[in-house]
Amino acid sequence: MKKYILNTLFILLTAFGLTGCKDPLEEHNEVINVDNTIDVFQKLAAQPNLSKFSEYVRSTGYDQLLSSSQNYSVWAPTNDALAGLDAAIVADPAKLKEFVANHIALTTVTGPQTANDTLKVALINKKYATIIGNKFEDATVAGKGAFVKNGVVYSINQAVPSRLNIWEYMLGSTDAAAQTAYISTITAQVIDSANATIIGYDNLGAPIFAPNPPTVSRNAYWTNVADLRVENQQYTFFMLQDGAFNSEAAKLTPYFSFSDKFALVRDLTVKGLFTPDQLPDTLLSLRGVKIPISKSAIVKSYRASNGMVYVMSALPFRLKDKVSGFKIEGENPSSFRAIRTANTFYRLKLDDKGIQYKDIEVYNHGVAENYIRYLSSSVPLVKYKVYARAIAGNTGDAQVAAFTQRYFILNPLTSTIDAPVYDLFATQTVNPLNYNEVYLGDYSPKQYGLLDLRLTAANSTSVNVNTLILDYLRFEPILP
Amino acid sequence: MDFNKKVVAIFTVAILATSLWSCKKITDEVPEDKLDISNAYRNVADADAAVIGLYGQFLSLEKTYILQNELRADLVDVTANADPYLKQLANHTITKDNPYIDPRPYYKVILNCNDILKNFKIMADNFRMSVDDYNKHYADVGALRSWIYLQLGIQYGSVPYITAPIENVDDIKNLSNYPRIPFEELLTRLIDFTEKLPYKEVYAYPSGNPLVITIDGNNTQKIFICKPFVLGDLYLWNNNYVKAAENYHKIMNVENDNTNINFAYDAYKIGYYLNSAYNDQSVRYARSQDESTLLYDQGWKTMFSSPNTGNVWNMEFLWGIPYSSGFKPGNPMIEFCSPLYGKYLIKPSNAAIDNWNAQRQYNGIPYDARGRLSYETTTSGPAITKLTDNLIPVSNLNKGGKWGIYRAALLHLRMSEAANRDGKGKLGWAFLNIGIANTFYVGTRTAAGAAAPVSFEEINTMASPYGYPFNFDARFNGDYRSAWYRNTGIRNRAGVTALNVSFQTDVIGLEGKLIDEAALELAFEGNRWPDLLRIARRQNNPAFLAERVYQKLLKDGDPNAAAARAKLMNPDNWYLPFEWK
Repeated sequence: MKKYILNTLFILLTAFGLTGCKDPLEEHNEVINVDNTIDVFQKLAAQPNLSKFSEYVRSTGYDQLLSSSQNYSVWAPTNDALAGLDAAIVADPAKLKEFVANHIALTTVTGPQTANDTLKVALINKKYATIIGNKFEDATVAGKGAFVKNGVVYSINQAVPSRLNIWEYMLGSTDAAAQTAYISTITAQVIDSANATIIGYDNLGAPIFAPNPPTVSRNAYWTNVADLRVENQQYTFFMLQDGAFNSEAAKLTPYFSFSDKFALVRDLTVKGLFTPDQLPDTLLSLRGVKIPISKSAIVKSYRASNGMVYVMSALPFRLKDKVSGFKIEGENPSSFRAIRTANTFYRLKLDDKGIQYKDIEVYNHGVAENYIRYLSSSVPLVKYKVYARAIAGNTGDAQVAAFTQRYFILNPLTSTIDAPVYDLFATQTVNPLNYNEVYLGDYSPKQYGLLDLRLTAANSTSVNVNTLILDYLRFEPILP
Repeated sequence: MDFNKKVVAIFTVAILATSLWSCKKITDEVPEDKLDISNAYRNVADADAAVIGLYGQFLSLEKTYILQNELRADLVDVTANADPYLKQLANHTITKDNPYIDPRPYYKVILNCNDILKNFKIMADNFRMSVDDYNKHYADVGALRSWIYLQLGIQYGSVPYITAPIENVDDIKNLSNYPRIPFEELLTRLIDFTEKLPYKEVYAYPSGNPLVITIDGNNTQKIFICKPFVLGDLYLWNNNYVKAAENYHKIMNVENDNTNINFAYDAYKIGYYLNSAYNDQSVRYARSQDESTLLYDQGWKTMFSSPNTGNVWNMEFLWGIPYSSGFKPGNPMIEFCSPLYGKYLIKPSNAAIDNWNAQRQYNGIPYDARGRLSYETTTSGPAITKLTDNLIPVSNLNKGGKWGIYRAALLHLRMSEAANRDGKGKLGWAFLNIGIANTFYVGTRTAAGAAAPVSFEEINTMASPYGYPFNFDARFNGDYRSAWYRNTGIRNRAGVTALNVSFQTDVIGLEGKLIDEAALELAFEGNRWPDLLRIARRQNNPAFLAERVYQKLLKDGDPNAAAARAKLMNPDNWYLPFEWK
């Protein structure tokens, strides 16, 4: 009998010993107030003031998602907040699904540490929500989140319907019909490489598609200016009413010819979000062109999911901003007549004022009339004053004697594909240690578009005579 | 007691007895995988093993050496990844608990040296080693100990000078009570000890000695300390310029009579490039003027990346210890310098980068390319490459490299410093800028400016006009070539323009320029703090040191810049706190 008592005591003691100790590590990692018995959807359904939202979740099928094993955050509007919801959303299952998805994120977002904590959260409808302190977009989060086994539920005091992105808004709007019509037309059909059948690869490793591959339409605005559909970037976009659009485009026609409208619309996008209260009087477009903004010309504004859209009655660009000068840098050649790598120097030197410059020198190349070719695209039709800077005889340079080099420019009117014609534009005598720009003459393009220029050496094979040196060419437009 | 019980009892006693007697005491057993003291130091092979083992242990000092000498000075700063203790070293806010200022790693090696020296003595006394072997081994270990003590003096000022072996634990405990001697006295005693070493040749062991072999792709000849170099340095620290120059002179001319003329003309001579690996230590471009053609796998950078069997390394380096990629410890600086394979804890300071960018090359490129060849620009920021350069680039699987300690450019700068202080500023200027022949030549020149002597008088001007140890013969013409004819000067070798000749007669000015040159040529190699300290002490000019550290911290945006300058204006604060822990 005594033995049994002892044994029992012993077992009891062991049992206590086993259960009495809590792993300190476990204790440390413990999150307090987690209800690990239920999932997000059950939590949602259990809260009476969120019943409406949980009903929408159920009817859109997201209840399956919220019961799954991944972690979610839900910002659920209260029943009061949903009372004023647009009936069109409730009536249309697709819209309702989008609406519900705009409140769910595939991650567990913990509460803010400070009032200014800012977070951008990807929602499951591919949009992004901004959370600042206890604000979810415009709605206020009530209290702390309820953490459950696969996520967290917050209740908010306002419904947050999903917004259109800039591109969607532009296409759906009739406020700037001419501009929208123009932008919608600059599309090209490209091979849909995601869906095309690949039958092999060429020597360079590029895929070869089966004949007649499927194509998709791609807008030039996405690739050449900005893809306004992208949700994880923010842009400010201007839409011009028809009058303003036509008059601005007309201003550009003499300079940009057939490309006048594109020359206009490519400067209508600004990087970043500028809400009306923080709109300055001048913004810089993505290309760096000044956009003059008069607040009185703002007809309408829309806060899109990826930025801001302004409908403007006027946006009077200055001609000198739109038709700007340009530079051709000597050290960025397009090609050579004869490649003489061992004689071609991409140089970094100091000028007489101690300022660094980069240039190119082709020295002792032994090719009569060797040339360096430079290309510049989309050159506006306007008369330019052309200046060249070419420095010979600086430290380390063997070219210490004066020499002559010539500039030829392609004439698109007299050229044929087989016989390009280059007109002599200027002859430059490069005197040693002349650090100044030299005025070469005035140049008027024959056509809008490509400038094709050759910097040509003397017709000689002699060293120190057929040298080519160029720091840069500067084209300065002469505007009325 | 019945019979059975009796039997059992007897058996028990018998078994117990057997088990007691058959066991040898475990403490009597000689371990088979450990070397007991009674088995060590029996013949010269054991002496060799002791030396190799000592250098292996010495290798562990590189980390401390580089960090203390570079981070405290002006060319290296910490990155954002560095721990607070490294930061303390960089901005001179060191607390006593800082692990990087622990002197014990130095003393670990020193105590080992002491023990080895004692045993070598016993071996020689017992005729277990020839006098010749004893001289070389003893001198090698002794010189290494002097070098470590010089480091200790530089870093801590007053240190205990322990030369007797310590064999039991209680003595180690008493080390903290050991009297400390000031730096000046330490220098005197180190000079005395080192000068009396029985063997003071440039190479610790001549070719043919069993310690000089090629193993694992590395040659061992120059892993041992160069004794005249440490002796010269000791004299230079002690402001004894002629004695310093004598020792440097010995090294500079050590290969003059080598029958291999590449050695005779290129070894430790800072020569110009002549299409051979022996003289490929120049900064070179595939196409002059074109910065994009700077050569990385030829020329100046290969001094650091070449294996120590390479001629380009051999003509420049006098003391360097390789790390094997095959076994530990591996190059410790990878952890500190590399953003890719290490933790990227230290980086070149903006001040160091500005130094390079302020130089001008003869080919018009407006910066010193040695910068590009000493660090690289990565997405994490500028990263020191000089300490991790290797023929097979460093990777996770290859932690090789070398700890280069003494090399020709350092030697020439130290010689210049001594010559300048001894009134031979023109010789110092020559080594620094354009070489002996170019500097001293007076006579006929070609249209391009090259020397073309037409008489013996003109040829004779190509030698330095001073007596030993400042005599350097660079005479040459079509028929005759003297030992120093290829000498081109440190700046010329790097392609940067020479300094004004007015420095030839400006002792303080040239001394500063020599130290400035060290920042360009020897950056990150662990000479910076000693250089600044030596000149600040000699000129009694704390600003020489304080201003440079201030500029580093200022340019790197360290808020402690002004406080560090104020602190370093007091010479007492130049030294680290000496703390036994």
